[in-house]
Amino acid sequence: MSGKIILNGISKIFEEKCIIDDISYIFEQGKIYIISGESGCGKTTLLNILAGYISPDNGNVTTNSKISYMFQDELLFSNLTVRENLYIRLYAYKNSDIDYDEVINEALVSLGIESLIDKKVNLLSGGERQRVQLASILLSEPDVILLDEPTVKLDEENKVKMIEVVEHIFKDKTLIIVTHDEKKFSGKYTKLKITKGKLYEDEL
Amino acid sequence: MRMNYKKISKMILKKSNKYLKISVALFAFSLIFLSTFLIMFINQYMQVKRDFIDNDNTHIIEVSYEEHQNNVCELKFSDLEDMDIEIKANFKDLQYDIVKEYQLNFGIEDENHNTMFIYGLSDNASKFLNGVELKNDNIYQNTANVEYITLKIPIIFADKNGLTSNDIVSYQLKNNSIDLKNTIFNSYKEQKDRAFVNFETYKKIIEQAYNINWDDFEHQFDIKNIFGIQAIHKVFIHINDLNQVEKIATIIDNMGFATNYTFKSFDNFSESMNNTVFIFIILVFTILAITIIYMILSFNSYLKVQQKDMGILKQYGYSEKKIHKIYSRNIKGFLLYYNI
Repeated sequence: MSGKIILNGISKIFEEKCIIDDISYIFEQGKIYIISGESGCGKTTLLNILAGYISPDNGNVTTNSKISYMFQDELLFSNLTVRENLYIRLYAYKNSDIDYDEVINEALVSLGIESLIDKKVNLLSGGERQRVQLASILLSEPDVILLDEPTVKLDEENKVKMIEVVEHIFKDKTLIIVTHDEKKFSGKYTKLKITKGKLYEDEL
Repeated sequence: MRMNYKKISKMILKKSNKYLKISVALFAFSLIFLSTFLIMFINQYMQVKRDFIDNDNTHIIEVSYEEHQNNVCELKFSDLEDMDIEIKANFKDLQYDIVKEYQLNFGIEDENHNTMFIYGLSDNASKFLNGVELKNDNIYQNTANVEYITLKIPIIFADKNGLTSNDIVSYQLKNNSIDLKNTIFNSYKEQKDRAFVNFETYKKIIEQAYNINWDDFEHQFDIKNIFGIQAIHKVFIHINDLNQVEKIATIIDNMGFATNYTFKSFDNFSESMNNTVFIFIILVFTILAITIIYMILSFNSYLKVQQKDMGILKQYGYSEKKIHKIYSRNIKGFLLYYNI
């Protein structure tokens, strides 16, 4: 079941409006899912339910996967260096006995940003900060990665690079991505759309 | 590198205590500024207190003549009583003294042919003479080279033809030196020919000079001054409460007397002082209020930043227990660092 999430009849109401309406779906292990829909249709709400941050009003979510979530707003300590940010991230998952520098270095190399290790986050470009976030997620060794608009703040060139990196480093993971840039994905993915609270599938 | 929660705490503290450092620095600067300002103000106030409020001279109204129909008239004995009555009528509980300075307009020789100009002071003058009580049959000068002096007082006859004197009478007085520095008679201290006697001694000199008893002299002087002297040189009205000086002076002015006092050329000194104190208090409270508000806002921002940081840690997967451990270490560290 690791990497698999089962949604069973979940619904969510906000301010008397049904945002998610009786959705049942299975996210399979190791697959890429791209969710699209109009603004306010419930994409982020669905991600929050999958991550366990909010509970559905009806139905349930079944999984024994380790889930990491990359928000639209970056969750980094901007006045600290990349190294310090990753130390803090790693300490949440790992015990004190491992060599933190080795682990961090490996993650940064896989993302091509090892030269940024001692730079302060607030001095990095948008694309570099996104990669640091990805490194941070990588360190947590998740089974499922939820990405909420990972390319929205990037220019076209960086969007392509970001998607390449994501496809590469998380290739065996379950990826659930909210984005409008699905055409930039080169690999196989399942396209999902939320309309009027319902989830529809378009396989490509 | 091996990791532990202390190192993590240190990293978090490094990030977030910048806000507190700036706030504390600003608060410290404000305190220093306020303290300096306070010290300066207190110093200024003490100076003003020394020079004005506690200085006897500022409490005194000097009256030297009367103005009557654009004429300058000498003071009469009845004027002294009138001033006293008027002050008492307008200020029932006021503490004041009326010190009289009497004079002989002519010099008197002693046995060594030294001429001196003698001034008599009323009995309540001792507080203005550095506490020196003037005694009967004693004379007081800047320097006393001999123990006794004998005055040769001319015996004066006043009649329709004016004043004549053909004889003298001797009056021996014990000689004393007196320090007039920092008294209301400070301006006389360099005058070697000026001497003071008490009122009783002055009366004796008058009685011997004019061969008249004092009561008759007073009475005649007020009706018509045939004595050729302006007996009352000056009157010093000493008011205990500095705030009342100008008010009393106004009353005396309105009675037709010419007054002279320190604050005559100042624009309402006590009001100025009160305004200064008021402005100072407002300023201090304003600076304090701004500093406190800034501290509160900074601390609020600091807490918000902390809140955001805690949120990030929670999202990273830190348990509440771990977050609590990190931040309680930070708080202890902060308190120790700033010796709170």
